[in-house]
Amino acid sequence: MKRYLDRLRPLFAKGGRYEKYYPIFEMVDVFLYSTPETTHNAPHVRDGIDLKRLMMYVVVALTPCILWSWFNTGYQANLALATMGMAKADWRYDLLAALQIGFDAGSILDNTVHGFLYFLPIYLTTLVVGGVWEVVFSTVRRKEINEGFLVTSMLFTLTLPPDMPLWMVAVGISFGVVLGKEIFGGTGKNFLNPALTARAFLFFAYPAEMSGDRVWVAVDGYSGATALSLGKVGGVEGITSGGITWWNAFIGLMPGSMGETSTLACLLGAAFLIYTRVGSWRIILGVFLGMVRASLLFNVVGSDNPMVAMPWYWHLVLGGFAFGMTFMATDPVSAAMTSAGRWVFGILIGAMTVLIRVANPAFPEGVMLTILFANVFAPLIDYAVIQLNIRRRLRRHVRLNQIPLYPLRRVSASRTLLVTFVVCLVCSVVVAGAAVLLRPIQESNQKADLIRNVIAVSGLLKEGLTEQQALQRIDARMVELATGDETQGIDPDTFNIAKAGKDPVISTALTRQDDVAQIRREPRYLPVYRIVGDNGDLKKLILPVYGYGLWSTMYGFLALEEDLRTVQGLQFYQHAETPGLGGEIDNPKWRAQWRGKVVFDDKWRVQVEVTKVEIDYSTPEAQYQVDALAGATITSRGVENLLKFWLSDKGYGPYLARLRRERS
Amino acid sequence: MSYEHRKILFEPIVDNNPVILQVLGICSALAVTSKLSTTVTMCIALTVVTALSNAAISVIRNHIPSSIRIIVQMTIISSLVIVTDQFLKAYAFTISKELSVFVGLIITNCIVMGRAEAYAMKHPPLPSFLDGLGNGLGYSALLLVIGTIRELLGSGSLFGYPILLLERDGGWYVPNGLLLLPPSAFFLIGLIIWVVRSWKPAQVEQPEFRIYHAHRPEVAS
Repeated sequence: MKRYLDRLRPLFAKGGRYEKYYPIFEMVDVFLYSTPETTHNAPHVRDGIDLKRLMMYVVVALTPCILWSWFNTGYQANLALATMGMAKADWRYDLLAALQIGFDAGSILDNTVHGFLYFLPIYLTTLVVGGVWEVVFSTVRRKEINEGFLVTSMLFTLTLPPDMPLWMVAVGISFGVVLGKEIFGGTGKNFLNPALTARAFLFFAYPAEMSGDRVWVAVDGYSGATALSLGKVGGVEGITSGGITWWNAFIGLMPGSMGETSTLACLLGAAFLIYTRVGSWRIILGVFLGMVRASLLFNVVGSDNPMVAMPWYWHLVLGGFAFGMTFMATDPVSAAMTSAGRWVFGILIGAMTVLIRVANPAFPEGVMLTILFANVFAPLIDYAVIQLNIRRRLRRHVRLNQIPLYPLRRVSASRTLLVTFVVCLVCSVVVAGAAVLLRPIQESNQKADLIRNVIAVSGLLKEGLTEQQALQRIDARMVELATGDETQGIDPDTFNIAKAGKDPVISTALTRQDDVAQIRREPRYLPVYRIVGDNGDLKKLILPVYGYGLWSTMYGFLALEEDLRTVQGLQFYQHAETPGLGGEIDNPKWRAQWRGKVVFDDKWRVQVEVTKVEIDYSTPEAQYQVDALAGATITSRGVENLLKFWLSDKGYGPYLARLRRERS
Repeated sequence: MSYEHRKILFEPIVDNNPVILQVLGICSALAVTSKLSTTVTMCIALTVVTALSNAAISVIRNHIPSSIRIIVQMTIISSLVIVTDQFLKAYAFTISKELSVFVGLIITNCIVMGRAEAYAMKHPPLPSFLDGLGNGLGYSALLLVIGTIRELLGSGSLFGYPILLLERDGGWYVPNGLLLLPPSAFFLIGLIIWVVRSWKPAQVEQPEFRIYHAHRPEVAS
């Protein structure tokens, strides 16, 4: 083999027939045997290590994580299958059956092989796609191919959930390799960790596949929350009552991304990396200490957020913390280079991870984002360290040069004033003219816009009416919420709900218990829209509702049927929830679920539930229940809360009661 | 139109594009391009403001005392922006609601101020007008490209009309949520700059320093 390669060498060398493909030849040659090249001039480094060996050490350090990922992925899948019963048939099941391997969660072999079948396709995909990009760029640039991508694709694979669609894996690794590394010049010149860049891309591009409860166990339709999202809701008790003890979490027996669950495996890898000096112990220790400090600080502060009380030894074993600390933060290319800088870099990662986990409502996990963040800061940290050092050594007073002011042309004051005056006059005439002339059109637009939302939720258009006809059916009234009386004197057409909720003159502050919808202040008056029949009788009632979701106040309308109990529709017209997750409150399919649901029981108590559990339609409760949005727990809860608030006595309760009295 | 005028008008579109070459006006390029309808409106608004403000400032350029010239430029630009905003509210209400503050923020767009200060203060009205128009069109050209990519791949539609059938509606396309977030426009602008500079190497900046390869000359070549 070696001789065969050596015989081929002249063909690829300069002037040879395949000169262009030298990088590919070089890769194969050096991967199999040690490099034939030595540095030509002094200094020579007397060490057997080169970049390739270094990368191989990382792969060796990853071995415990890799093996564990096979076992745990299979173990979680087999556990889920045991509770759900055997249902699915795909190639993995056929293959396992052909190999006479069962689905027993108690058997190490069964688990490992099952998990391996999830690991392998993803890994091969990253390897092939990442490798192709690497070869393309190396060939165009006439550089040697670096084995960096072997490590990148392994790291990337281990951070993914097990049943990630393969095409997404391919898109992700392409983004990571091309935009995270190659455009900056290839291996050694990237300032972001390419594996994490790829993961972050997928996380934001396809959030439904990378977050939420459904993706962490490799069985379709099985919903198992990660320990961190359990902790987000219930703190440590939430996790332990979910069946995960600290030792489980430490060893890694819990759902999660494939390679990240086991802290033990990561620590073994860390020990190897530190021993071989491939990974910086300063960074690893810095991350650890930063995390401990920040969580102790939060423990002392205390608050009703359950994550605040989480002790540091839980932070260590949950989520991707140990994996990120060991393998991602220590990436020698994108981390800080100076010794002092590495401490700062590590502490920044550790502390910010805890900060995101505790304080950020959207992302249960923060390791990925903080490491990328610290990557961006690494050059700045190094620069500051070096400059401080230089300054300490200089200890010399340098006088700043006086910068001469830009010479201005002298103009008399009266002329300046005159020009100012004329410009202001002309501009104000133009602005005022436009404002006055266009005001009527703008106002009618605003009115039409609000009414259009009312019409949309009323369902009148579906009954075959035109917008004009529908408009005739709408009877807008102002209601005093506390008493339920209709009031005159305020024009409902121009009433601005968002503004009224902030205006201290016409709104009252809510106490914390009352403020279910998290709106802080409640207007005293609000418009309601009665949809009337031909002889003026009430057919439907449309109520403006709003409340806080994950990021924003969601404004919408709730339409009730004639019985004031059944929902005709719920539609939001303004919000800023995450596109693809919380933003799906606009999804027609989800909105359609609301139709026909009942929001009051027989005794007119508010009953509405947005539930994450699958709805059992045989129970009477099903009529009050709506499926939560996948991966948007907080937005879903926000919708439930705002409905509960506005239908209660604090909201439209008195008005609805009055309507019922009038009716009977 | 003379050759000179044509050059003033068309040069900023590819050869001297305000966004691609000068990297100005990035903020609004990120904010308004998630949908084509808002993108187009923003492009028209900015082009009108740049052209008219350039012309107006050029008309009075010899009467503006240099000590207050920035304030005078700002006043004229902001007046034009307010008028534009009023027009949008009157004739394109839904789009102006989606654009929200970004029409108002044209005032702070570096392209408008930059053209006023760098060109209109030194040139007669007609060339200034053309220069403003050309820069507006250059900005528009890039925004339209980005808007098209973002809406098509992010929501599977163009101008709100479905083009790629979404998976959730029974089709095959899984929309890419990243493209609906502003940072994606950063990546796209970067990639476009890469493409344009490969096509026109004259736009590539001179390197600030050069690393000389002392070793391994066979690799360095």
